[in-house]
Amino acid sequence: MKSIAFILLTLTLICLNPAWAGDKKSEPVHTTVFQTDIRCENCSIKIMNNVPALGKGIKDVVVNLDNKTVAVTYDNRKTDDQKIIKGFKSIRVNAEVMTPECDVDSVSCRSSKDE
Amino acid sequence: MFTFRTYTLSTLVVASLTALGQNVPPDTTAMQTTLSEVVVEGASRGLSVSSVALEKREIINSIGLRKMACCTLAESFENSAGVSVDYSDAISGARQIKLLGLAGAYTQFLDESRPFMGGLVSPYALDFTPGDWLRSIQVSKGVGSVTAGHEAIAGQINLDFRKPTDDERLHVNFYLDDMLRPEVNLSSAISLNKDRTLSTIVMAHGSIDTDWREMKAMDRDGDNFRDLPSRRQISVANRWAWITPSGIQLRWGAKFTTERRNGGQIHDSYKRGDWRDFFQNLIAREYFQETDLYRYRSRIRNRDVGAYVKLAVPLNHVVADSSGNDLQDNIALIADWNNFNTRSSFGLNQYNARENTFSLAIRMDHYFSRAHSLAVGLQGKLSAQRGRTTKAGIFERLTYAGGIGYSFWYQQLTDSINEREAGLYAEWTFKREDRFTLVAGLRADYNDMVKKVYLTPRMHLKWNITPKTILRASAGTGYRTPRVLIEHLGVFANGYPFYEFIPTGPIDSRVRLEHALTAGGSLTQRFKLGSDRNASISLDYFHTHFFRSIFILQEPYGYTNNIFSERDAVFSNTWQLDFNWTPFTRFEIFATARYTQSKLRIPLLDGGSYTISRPLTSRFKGVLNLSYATRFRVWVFDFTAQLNGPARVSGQGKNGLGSYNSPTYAQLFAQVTRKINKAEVYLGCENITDYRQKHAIIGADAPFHDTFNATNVWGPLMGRKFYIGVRWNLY
Repeated sequence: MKSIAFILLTLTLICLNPAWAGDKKSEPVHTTVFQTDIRCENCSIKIMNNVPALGKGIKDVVVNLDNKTVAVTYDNRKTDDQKIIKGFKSIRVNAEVMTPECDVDSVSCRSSKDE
Repeated sequence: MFTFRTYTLSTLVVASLTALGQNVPPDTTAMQTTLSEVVVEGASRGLSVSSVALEKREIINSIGLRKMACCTLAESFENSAGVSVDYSDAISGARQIKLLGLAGAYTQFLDESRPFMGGLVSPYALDFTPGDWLRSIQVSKGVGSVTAGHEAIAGQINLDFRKPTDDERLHVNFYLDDMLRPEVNLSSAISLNKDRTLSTIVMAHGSIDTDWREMKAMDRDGDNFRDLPSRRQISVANRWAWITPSGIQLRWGAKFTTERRNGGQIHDSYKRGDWRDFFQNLIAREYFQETDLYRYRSRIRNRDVGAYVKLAVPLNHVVADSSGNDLQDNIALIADWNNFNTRSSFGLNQYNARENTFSLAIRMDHYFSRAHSLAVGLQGKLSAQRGRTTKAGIFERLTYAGGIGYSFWYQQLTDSINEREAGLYAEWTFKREDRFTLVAGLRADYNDMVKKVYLTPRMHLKWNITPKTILRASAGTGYRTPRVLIEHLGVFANGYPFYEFIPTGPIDSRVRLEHALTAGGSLTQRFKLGSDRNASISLDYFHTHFFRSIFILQEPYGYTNNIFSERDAVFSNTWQLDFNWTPFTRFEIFATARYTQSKLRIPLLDGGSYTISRPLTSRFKGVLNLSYATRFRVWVFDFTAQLNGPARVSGQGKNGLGSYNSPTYAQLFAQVTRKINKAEVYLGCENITDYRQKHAIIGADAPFHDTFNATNVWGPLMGRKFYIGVRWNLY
């Protein structure tokens, strides 16, 4: 009985995951670089640990501690810069839009897929 | 140290008498952000082998700690082969670690380099530290640094707690298992001024076994004994940090834990009104307050209070290291106080003790150059322990007339220690770039109890033979004052009397300190395997030899707890192989295997001796941990398989007669974690195959008799467990 309950609960949790929820069409992906007030490694870790707190549709996050910038790549049908700034605020990071596009020269927009 | 006397209190004659002679043996990282510039979503190993540390360190970071529910420190080691965690008996539910095949007491626990959880509290300390209070654990095998004392013989385990300077203004962890046991952990770190120089953290833990657990499945093996006691615990800790811009650091804090365990039989084992009334009335009236000869009960009440203060002042002398960082001289002062009080009963056996410890240390670090540095220090420790034990039981014997006779016996022991110790040490470090490090330390301590000066030499070496090949070695001696009775807590969970096995005379106050040598080393190789450039394999070996050791065994003479204080009688060899690999991004494999040979030479009354494996020490252990995380660790899947090797269970005769090996058994663990906004929900199952040690209690139907034994626990006492929990942070 316990095993059945466990399997059902696991399946329920898996079904809740949007990644498996349905077909994906090509998504309009947008990258914004935010200037933030992060000061130390802990802040970078905090951001990377709380990506879901930034909102829905986040595809990639790259933190540059030296420049105090965070490049966020997102699906602009699901979120926008203001919502992301709000998300940053919820983890006590002050952020403002630096450039509308990802500035490849100043920020390493390396995706995790590149690893 | 402790003295005892055995009495035959009274004998009820059914047909004739039996008696027990006095003192005569009966025939029986979150993202491991190595970020210099850019943080990308990296492969973060939950459990890794450090390539930076001087000693070989197994690091369990916050990700490793979240692989399982890790309600307590004991459960944090499920992924580790080097450290195994066993129950001390089938009654108290107390858990103790084993490192290098040696009991946990030989491993020193450090709280950010400050020794703690030593002495009397050690058998319970693993349960007193909630896993959720920790950020990481570092396990180092072999002798530790002389700066932390002379006690680490098998290894050091450094605990990195949540800090006052943390970002989480509020962290909540709520856990519930299928026995409806809730656990709550809260922590709150707050900066009290704008420039964040003064900050504090409050950590709290509460857990309780609810009535549901009382009613259901508490006795799955049907022996009328609770499989584990019903526990309630409250722990609170408050830590402060004051860090000035000039670098002066003042840290202080206090902690409090209170715990209650109720175990033993669920129903009366005898009908009231039989011959036991005779003893019941006698002992209840004259000797024991809480005695019930109809039902074996176990009540344990523990209270632990402590406080510390640390002050570190940087001095003016500064040297730059090879990477341009400042190495600054500093002086530090550490004061520590701890009070532990335990009141426990296991049927008729009682152990009540309290301990007060105060220690003071001053340390100075000086850098002669970037290559040479010296740490010198002074340490003083006062420790006072007052303990009292009663061990009692009923012997049932055939009489000459052919009837049955019952004898009631008891022993009373005082277990008191007054220890004053003062020591000084010097530790020299030679570091040639990052390639070669040699640390040589020496300390001298005068111990007032044995009126002797002990020297502790220790040496550590780390050599990066190539950038990817690291050799480490360490050797040194260590000694410690054993808390013999509480470190062998399991002896209270049997019906056997104590027997001082000293052919030349009683142990009494002439008990020596335990003294040992540990030497060993490790070789770590990093290499490219598939797409992973940082796969690693590591092999280590350690040997420990005790010049003097004190231990309690249920052999060579059966049905007694034999206390030994022996020279050159204990040694252990441990080999371990670790393998770390990330075959593709965010999928990690960690496999480890350990083989231990832990031997004892047991003397006999006729002057002979025999050598045999240390009881209840598993010969090998293997762990395989698979972990997969989706991007940003939104989903994390963890699976752990453990294979536990056989352990020898003592028989009742000489030369291992009647002893047997426990079976090899496997345990599986799985957990799924889902990140939702700032919360994490986890759902898991421990001991998926529902493996339990059956009949962990021998003689459960006659719990006050000399045949009762709940000490020989080698496997899990609880079966499969499902749990669900949530962690939530407010920044």
